[in-house]
Amino acid sequence: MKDILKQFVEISAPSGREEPIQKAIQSIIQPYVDDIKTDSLGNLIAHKKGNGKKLLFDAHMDEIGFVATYIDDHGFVHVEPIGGHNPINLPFQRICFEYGAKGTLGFESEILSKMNSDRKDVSFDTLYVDIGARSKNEALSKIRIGETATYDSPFVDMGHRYMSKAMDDRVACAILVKLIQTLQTHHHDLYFVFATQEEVGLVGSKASAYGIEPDFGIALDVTATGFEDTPKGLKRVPMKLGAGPAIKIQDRSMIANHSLNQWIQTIADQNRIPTQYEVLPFGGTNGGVIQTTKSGVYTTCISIPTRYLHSPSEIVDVMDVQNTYQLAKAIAEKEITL
Amino acid sequence: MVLKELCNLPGISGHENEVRSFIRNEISEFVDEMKVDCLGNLMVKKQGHNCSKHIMYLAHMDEVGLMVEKIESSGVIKFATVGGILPSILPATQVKILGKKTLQGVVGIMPIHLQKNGVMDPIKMDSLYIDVGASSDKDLQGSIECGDPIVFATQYEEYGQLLKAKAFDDRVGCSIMIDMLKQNITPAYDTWFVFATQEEVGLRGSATATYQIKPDFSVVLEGTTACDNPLVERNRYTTQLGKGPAISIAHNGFVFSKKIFDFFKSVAEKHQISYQIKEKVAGGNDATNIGKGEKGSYVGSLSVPVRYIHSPVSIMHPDDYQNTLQLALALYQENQSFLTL
Repeated sequence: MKDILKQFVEISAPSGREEPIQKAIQSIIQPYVDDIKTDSLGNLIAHKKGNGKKLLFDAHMDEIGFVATYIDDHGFVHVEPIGGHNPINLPFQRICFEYGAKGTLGFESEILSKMNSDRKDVSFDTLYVDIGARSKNEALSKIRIGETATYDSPFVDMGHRYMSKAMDDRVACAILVKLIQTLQTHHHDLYFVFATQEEVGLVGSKASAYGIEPDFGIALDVTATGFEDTPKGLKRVPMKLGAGPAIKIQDRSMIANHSLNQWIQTIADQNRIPTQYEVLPFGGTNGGVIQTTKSGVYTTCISIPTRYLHSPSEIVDVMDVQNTYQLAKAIAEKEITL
Repeated sequence: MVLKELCNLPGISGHENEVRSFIRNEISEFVDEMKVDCLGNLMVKKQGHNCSKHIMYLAHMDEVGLMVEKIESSGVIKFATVGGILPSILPATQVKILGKKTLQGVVGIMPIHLQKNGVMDPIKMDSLYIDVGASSDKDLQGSIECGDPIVFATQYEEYGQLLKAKAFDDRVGCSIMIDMLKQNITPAYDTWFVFATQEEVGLRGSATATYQIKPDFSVVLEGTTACDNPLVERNRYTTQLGKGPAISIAHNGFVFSKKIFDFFKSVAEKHQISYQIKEKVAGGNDATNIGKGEKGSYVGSLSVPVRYIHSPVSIMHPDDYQNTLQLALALYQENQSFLTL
């Protein structure tokens, strides 16, 4: 799975511009599914036919990013955010545009001693991208207005951990791809959605779930870790790396279905897969829009604990990735009984 | 162009009836079907040569405004905002309260003489009220009550090369759609023109309209923020007056498809219509709902730049109106090429 994960996280595909990752996933899974299609929002929807009820697995393909909106007279590029960025993290990060131009997010203070206090107020109005252009014309020859960018931050194998941009949510894409490749028997009519535009507001999944009308929905996404994981981790956030997939209890988008969670816990116990529970006081996942589709769907989310979310250096644990795959496979192989 | 008449009509979110009646009268002879749904959306259809696809053009009829919350025993009126309005722009604004009677009013303000150092504290809704010249609540019995809509009293005016009015957002979109319908063109595919309600309070009308029409391709016509003010740095302009319709790349909660973005630009270039690209992603409009409605569909957004939007008086350029109309018409005639891509 490491090779697929490395391939996926290194693809640049922010919300609304998912075509590169969609094509990569499609070319791998096509031989293993009965039907595959894309819709007008760019969602990739794969179907493994079965006789049972409809079970939907969902992972989002998009990552947070940037879009060029204005090039000033000196050739500096002004960008707007795509998805949730905290601007204070951004000064001097490197980014790469759709057609290959690379740059860094410049940030300055006119008075040196004010650098730290100014940094607290950094925003997309004060940041700019230096792509090494010496003039407006040179910049315009390298990028076009409307071109998107993502962090330029490749995959690193740290032994027991992996680090990269876009673990959110390519790690789940990689898990679902491996599941599709390896699944032998299943009791459900299985749908796999690789969704678009999660980071800007759960857009793609809302439409794909409407079209599929599943009986059960399971979103696979990343979640934050807290005080038990890192020296100054968030209080009230119990999740940690290496403790297994996190079964969602609730976040700001959803209270997960309790019966489905209990059934998943039973399956995990039978297969000796470690799990933890997730209670997240912020954020949401595609589970939130799947759950409220049409007359409602039994829905939960299985999360891969991830450090430093929405940064260029998101870190996951190798065993958590393996165990999440094992759990998803065990779920797909059994018949859900609530 | 009926922009003047539209802007002068009152129609805060949820109270769009006068705007709807006016539009109905203007367009009834040019449409093949007309209906109003329970949220108040006015939906009209132009029969196309082909009914296999559905096209939708949408603009919202509602404007931001105020609403009567409570009539104090002293005769002053406490009010709520409807849609996004900064409380600090309201003092000394002239308003109309549309109850059983229509009353003129002024949002009260502490005279400069009595303010500390002549500088107002940050203004909060708690300190604002409307003065209608009543001396007690008894004076107002039978004329206004809680829930009555309040609109800015601004009248449409041309001045210099520009236009000035309340509610360009989004009567400008409504006016453009009316002009499109009056051209009486038979489109390639069945096309619905939706004059939607309640955009300003959460994109509500467009949600039910999308469910009913199930469009394959939609264009949202809007008024959007222009911040081309000499005191603002160039990289914060968002859009500029006089540079043509603004095509959106992304906004709050939605990224427009690259296919749509490229198609809109290519049609503008083919027809030599000047356009600009909206340079900020802040704010959102009905396109978000349309794009992810039902199974999802293609949607784009064209906006007329408007200065001082969501305030008692906003300013726009008539050339932008004409260019937006031209681009909307060009898209109307060319959307077939997009749908057969």
